[in-house]
Order: sequence, then structure tokens, then C-alpha cells
Amino acid sequence: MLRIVCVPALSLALMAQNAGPSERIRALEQQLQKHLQEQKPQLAIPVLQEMVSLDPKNTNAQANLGVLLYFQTKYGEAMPHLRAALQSQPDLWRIQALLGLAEKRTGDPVAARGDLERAFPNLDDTKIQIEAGLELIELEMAAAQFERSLSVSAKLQELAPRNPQILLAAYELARRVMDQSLLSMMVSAPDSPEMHMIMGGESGRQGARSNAIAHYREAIRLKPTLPGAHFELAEQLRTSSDKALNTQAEDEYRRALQLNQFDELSWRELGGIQVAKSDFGEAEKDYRKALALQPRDADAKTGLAIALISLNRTVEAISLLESALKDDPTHTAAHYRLSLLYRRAGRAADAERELAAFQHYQALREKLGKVFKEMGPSASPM
Amino acid sequence: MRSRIGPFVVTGVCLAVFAVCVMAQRAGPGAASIPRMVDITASTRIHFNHLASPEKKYIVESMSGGVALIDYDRDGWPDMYFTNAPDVEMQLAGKKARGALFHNNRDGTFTDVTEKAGVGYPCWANGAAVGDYNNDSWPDLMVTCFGGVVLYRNNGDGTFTDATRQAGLAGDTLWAMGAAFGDYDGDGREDLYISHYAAFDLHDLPAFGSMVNCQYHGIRVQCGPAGLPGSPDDLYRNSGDGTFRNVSKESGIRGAQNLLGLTAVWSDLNDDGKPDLFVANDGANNYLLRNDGNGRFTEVGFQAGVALDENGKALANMGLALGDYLHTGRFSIAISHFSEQYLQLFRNDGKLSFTDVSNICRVARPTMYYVGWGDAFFDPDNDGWPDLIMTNGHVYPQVDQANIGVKFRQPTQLFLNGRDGTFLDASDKAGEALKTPRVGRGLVVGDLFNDGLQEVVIENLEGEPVILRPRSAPRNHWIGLELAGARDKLALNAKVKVTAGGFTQTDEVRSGGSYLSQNDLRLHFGLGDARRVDRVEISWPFGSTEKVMNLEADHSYCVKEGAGVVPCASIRANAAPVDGTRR
Repeated sequence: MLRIVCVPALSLALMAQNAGPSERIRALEQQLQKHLQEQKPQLAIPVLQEMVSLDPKNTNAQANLGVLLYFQTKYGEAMPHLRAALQSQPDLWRIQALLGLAEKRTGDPVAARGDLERAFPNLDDTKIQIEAGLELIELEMAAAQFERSLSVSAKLQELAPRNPQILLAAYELARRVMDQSLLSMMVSAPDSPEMHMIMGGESGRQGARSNAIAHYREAIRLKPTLPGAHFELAEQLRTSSDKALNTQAEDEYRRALQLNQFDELSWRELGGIQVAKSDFGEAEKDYRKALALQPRDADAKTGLAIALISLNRTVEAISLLESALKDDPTHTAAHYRLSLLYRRAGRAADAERELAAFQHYQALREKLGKVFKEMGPSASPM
Repeated sequence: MRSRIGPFVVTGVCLAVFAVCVMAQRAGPGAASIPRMVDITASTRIHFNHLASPEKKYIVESMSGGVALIDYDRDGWPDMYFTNAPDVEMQLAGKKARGALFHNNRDGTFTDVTEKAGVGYPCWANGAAVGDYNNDSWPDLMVTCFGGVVLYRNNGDGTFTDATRQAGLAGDTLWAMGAAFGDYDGDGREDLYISHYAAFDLHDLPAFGSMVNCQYHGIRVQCGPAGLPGSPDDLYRNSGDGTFRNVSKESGIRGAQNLLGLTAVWSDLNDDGKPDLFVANDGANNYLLRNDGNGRFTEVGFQAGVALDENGKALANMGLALGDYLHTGRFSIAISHFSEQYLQLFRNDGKLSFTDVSNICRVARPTMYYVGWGDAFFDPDNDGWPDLIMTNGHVYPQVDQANIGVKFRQPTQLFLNGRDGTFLDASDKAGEALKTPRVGRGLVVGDLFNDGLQEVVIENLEGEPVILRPRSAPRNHWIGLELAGARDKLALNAKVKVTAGGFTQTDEVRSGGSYLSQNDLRLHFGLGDARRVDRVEISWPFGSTEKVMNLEADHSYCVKEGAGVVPCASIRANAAPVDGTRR
């Protein structure tokens, strides 16, 4: 797509600049226009070559020649012309991006990174920016420049949040950053509480709950105030099928809150525990604390709604669930509960709509769940 | 702030938790009134061994174990039938597992009459249900099998005949699990619903621990049920000539998805006089098939709020208990599930609207560590408030080798009705017999000895069954009712309201239920300290409502549609003589 868009756009922009004075050049320009309009780059290239031989300072001709050669995959031949164009007009950002790409393809990653880094923030065409950005991320990652990669990745995700190429790049980048951090930690502080936090997380993702719990406990033993450690331990305990461990989760959430009373997630999970204990009044308090800290937490709103339903305060619950769905339209539990409450309130059409939404998002979740299951226990973010 | 809010919250809780606070007329169960469940298996002389491979390498080796109470000789004393199943190796080698029928000797013991009755080797048996498909007053036995069903026609002489083919049921070749008889169309003949589980081929077995769905907490285990394709259920209409006709398509039940069907039960859940159908599906949404009254059903599980849990998640639905634990006259539904899930109690709010009150009722948290199977509402202390019992036992013996806090053998759980919409977990206080870990599957309740106490029979996947008998003091009063319909002789889905001691209880005669099992078809009501029943009101299915007044407590009565209390001999065709209207 870039190839189709880039060539005419570039040529039209540059043709307007620096027209040559001689008649031969005029004639060549006419030929060039004709070949470009007919989409015949093979014929346009010798014309441009003659033009730059007649007038090496013809930025327009140099740039166009560089572009056409690039798209003929003659990167080595394209680069001098692209550089020449940039020398006379440094703000030709698309040309600079193309030069970076050509340098990357001819084995000069350092120069490529430099050109792409300069061009990327100035590109005004989304498609070109995405292509240049993806190539730049690759170069930055190869150079272990993760912060710069992250910055480019963030910009690309802003531009096209659903683009699979960008999502893949962001995923690979995140994995590399994790691996790099882990490696650094292993080298610099292998016995640190932070290292145990990392190992706890990895064990948990792999389904090795006992190991995860052991690592979090060790992290806390080494550094009782380690941020997040009590919460992560509580999460593992809460989902344990071991009754003895499971009942310890509440204490760990509370310890997390002793260290940080603004730990919204701990308040929210405590709310869930209170619901399971049938203490709906306490659950309401905990959920409200969570929502005071994070008013757009759809999980907390749904949890609170469930507590209120248990207290027969269904009007409030409906309002909360509606609000939760504004924050997260894909929240299946909120759709499901709302459908039941609407039905009870005699709002059959609303109930059907919510049920349909629930079933739609549930099907999506199941589809995703199957994918993650195939990928193995450590893959699922759900 | 606290002082202002506090009182309102308390008031709110009381009002909300359902306006049933005001219904509590007596104190809830205290420690002193907790009934003890005592293991009396040895004294019954019942010896039966449910076979099971030690490793349970395949899911099909973990699912059997339904048990049925069936008064097959109509002497008024419940007998019992245990299903049995081989393992894959046995099956492939052509070996069979022996089910067993035990005759109630009326003296606290039972005698194995399997061979005489001819019910020892029906198939790879999973579950059992009782009905009277030919309406001759002799209860017949349906056995669900891995590979179809077997219908045993009761010959009335202590023997049964395999009538499967003759009845037109031989075409059912799928992995049958739940079975329930019920007259859905009001023609007086008992129709039949069969739920089917996975499509599973013994000659193409998923290798143990081989895939993602063959792992449990990182342990290699049998594969499934996740990842296994489901099978369609079937509804058979009784033609009235000893045969059934498959009406799955025209009745609309085939509109439901092909899920992993387990227990099924008929019950008039919307109080319109027509039995609806509830089907527990493993790992998927439950079906509530509303009986539309024209031979057709509409699946309304989602609309009714019984398809999923309160968060919209599908659970591993297995056993079904129905009961009016709130004295509202409506049947709520308790469903047993896998560990890390919970015993789900759906409160019936009327008009086919249910609420998952598992947390409110305090049964969710204590049950999340166990794999639940057979469950039942019953009244071991005869206080008039149905309690809830559930047998547990894991699927994977491998959990014993892994340090994950879950064991293969698990205790039985008893929840006492708090009379305010909550239950008290009395599992640790009701005697050692409940605490003994087992690999439970089927569970049924019935007054085995006609003395006013409801025993519990548990069939275990491994080894001997267990019979538990309640011991409680002070001893409360009770009444037993055996019904006979004018058309359907077993009066399936007749609904009975018993008013005594200032409150009214409701129950229903049901085929199937629990986990692939059959409770006593007679109804039992605890009466507390009431010595008389003021009124018994019976709503006969598709028929009239009949009242019987002023019955003396502590007796069983036989009631015939249109005739009131009658000698029991008159409703038991050619049955052994009994002593008048009372047993």
C-alpha cells in the first residue's frame, strides 16, 4: 500500500519544487510526468537519471529517482539520490524515512536508526509512519534501546490500536523488556526480594501456585514492605483450592492495605471476599473504598452491585451496573446481572438486549480462552 | 457516620434477605439440635462394590454411581438399586460390572435379590430413575448407560424384564446419564427425558495427560470434560402401548445446544400445573425447558437466571436437589459443582425467575473445596425446614500425590436450614460418619425403615455404599405420603402442601434427580412439635386439587386421586398385604 501511495504523492510534492531551466530538462520532465502517470517506473528511472546528470542539484529529480529505485529494491542505488535530496532540503521527512529503510536493508543499522529516529516524529502520513515505526522498533530492539522502542510503540498504538502488526511488535517488545529485566535482576540481585517477586509471578503464570506462594512469602520475609508483594501473595492464596491457604488471602490483602491504603485492587478483592463470607455490609464498604480510588473500575462496580443485590437494593445495583458498562462495555458479568435485574423489573426488552450483549461478549471470551489454552498456562492474561 | 448507617444497614439486611426474617417462627439450629448422621451400613447387611480403575485414566471411569430407591415389590418398604460400571480395560475385554438390587427385609436389613430380579448386568451403568411407563402400578427401573439406556419392566413378581427394545428405546446409543419420567402432556402416561454426556469413543481414547484439557493444576489427569463434544438429549413421548416415540425435534428440546448433559428432573417450577424440565449440564449453561403446554418446550434458562452462576460463568453442573426451603410454596434448586466452584442455590422467586443466593445462604464458601455430586433436601431432624446434604469426591485420584490442598476422598456436607434464608454448615458437628472421606457420587434420601426418619444412601465410585441414619433429640413429629394418581399411578409431579404447626411446606413427587439417582417417591414432611397435620393439599398433575384434613402425625398415609386417604393395598396392584391405611 505504501508503494502505491508514496510514489505519486512524493513526486507531486517535489515536482512543484526547483523546476530546471533548460529545455532539455523541461522535455525530460514532460516524459517523466507521462511515465509516472502511466505507472511505468522502469521508463521513468532513466529519464530521472539523465535529469540528475544534467542538474545534480535538482532535489526533485534526486528524490524521485531515489524513491523509484528504492521500490525497484535497488536500495544501494537509491541511497545516494535520497541523501542528495536531503542535503539540499533536510525537511523531506518521507525521503529521510525511505533512506533509513534503505540503509536498514543494506546492512547499515546505525545509519538507519538515525534517519528513522529523525523522520518518525515528523511523518504526517499514518501509513508511512506505521511502516517506518515498525522498522524503527526492530532496529531499537536489536540495539537494546528498549525505552526508545517503547516510545515508538506507544505512538504507533495511538495511531492504530487494532493493527495486528503493531500489537505483535508491542507484545514482542514487552517480552524482550521482561526478559532483559529478568536477566539484569539475575545478574545483579539474584537473591533479592525483587527477584523472588519476579519468580513468584512467573510461577503463578505457569500454574505452579505452590512455588509462587513460596516465592512471594520469601520476598516478604526479606523485605516486608516490598510494594505489591502482599497483594500478589493474596491473589495466589485467594485462588488456591487449599482451604487452609485460601482463608489466608484476606489477611494478606489487609497487610497490603496497611502498607498502602490507596491499593485499590486490594480493597476490591476484599469486597469479593466479604461477599463470599455473606457479609454484604462489609463488602459494600470495601467496594466503595475501591471505587473512591478508582471510580472507573468496572469490576468493583459490578462487585458492589452484586453485594447490593444481596441486600435487595436492586435500584442502586442497576445504576451501578449501567455505569460499569459505560466504563467497560465488554464486561460480561455486568451484562448478565443487568439482564436479570431488568427482567425482574419488568423491562423485558432491556433484559433481552443485555442478555444478547452478554452472549456476544461471552462467545468472544470463550474464543479467546481457547486460544490461550492452546498457548499454555503461562499465556493467559484473563 | 457509623452510628447513623449501622442501624439502617441491619434493617436493610433483614428486609432484603428476603422478608423471610419474619417467617422465622422458631430459633434456628443451635449446636444442641444438630442431628447426628450415623453410619448404619454394616447393620443393613448391604454389601456392594462399585468397581473403579485405580487411576481413572479416562473420564468415563469417573462418572458412574447413581443409586435408586425403588419399592419394586410394592410392600411399602423402599428397596434399593446400585448401578455399577466397568473400566475401559474391562469393557474392551468383554467383562461386565454387576449392579445390585437389595430387598428391604423390613427389619433393618436388606437381601441381595439381583439375580432373581434379573437386573445385574444392564450395561456400563451410570444412573438410574424410577417410573411406571406402562402404568400398571409396578415401578419400573430405567438405567442409563455408556451407550444407551436399559428399561427394566417390573413384572410384579420380583423380577424384571429388559424391555428396552420393545419400548422403542434401543435406538438410544449415546452416553446416557440423566433419566427422568414425567407426564409432560397430561395424557396420564409417563414420558421420558434422557440427557446425554460427551461423544466418546472407546476405540479412540484421548491419552491420559496428553493435552491441555488433560491437566489439572499442572498434574497429568484424564482428559475432559473440557474439549469433549457434547451430545443431544432426547425426549420420548409415551405412546400408551408400552412404547415410546422420540419427540425431541417436534417438542423443541432439540433447539437447545448439544451440551454435556448430566442430571435431569421434571418439576412444575412456575406453578402452572405442568411439569417443566431442568437439566444440569457439565461445564455449560443449564437448561430450563419451560413446558408451554402444547407439547412444546422453550429453553428459558438464561431468562430465568438459572443457566449460569451470578457472574455469568458456566459451572460444572452435576447434581440437582429441589426443595421449598423457604416455605414459599416454590421449589428452589441446589446444584452441586466441581471444586473451586460452589454449591449453587437458586432461590425460586416465582414466575420462572431465580436468584443465585449461594452466598446469601452461606453455602457457597464451605463447598468450594469439594467436588460435589449427589445432593438432596431432606429433614433429618423433622423440624419442618428442609436441610441440604451433598456427597463429595474428586474425579482425579492423582490429586493425592500433588500438594494442592485437594484430596480424592472428601467428606459429606450437611447444611441445616436456618429458617431465615441461610444455612448453617453442620458438616463438622453432625457426627464422624459425615467427616469420613469418600468418593461419593449418587445420593438419595428416604425413610428406609418406615419409622419417620429419613436415611441417606450414598453410592461411592470406589467400593461400598454408605447408609446414614439421623439421630436427633428431641424427636420431632412427621408424616409420610404415598400418592396414586387417577391416571398416572405413580402421581409423578403431584404437588403436596402440608400445613401443620402454623406453617405450610410444599414438596413434589419426582422421578430422577440428585446425581443420576432416584429418591424415595413417597413424600416425607417433618412437623416439628405438631402432633397433627391440619391440612394436606394435593395438586394432581393436569388435574384437580384435593384436600385432606386433620391427619394424625407420625404415620404414613396413602392418598388416591379423588378418593382421599385409602388403604395402601388399594393403590398397589397385587402387592403384598399391608396393615390398613397406616404402615
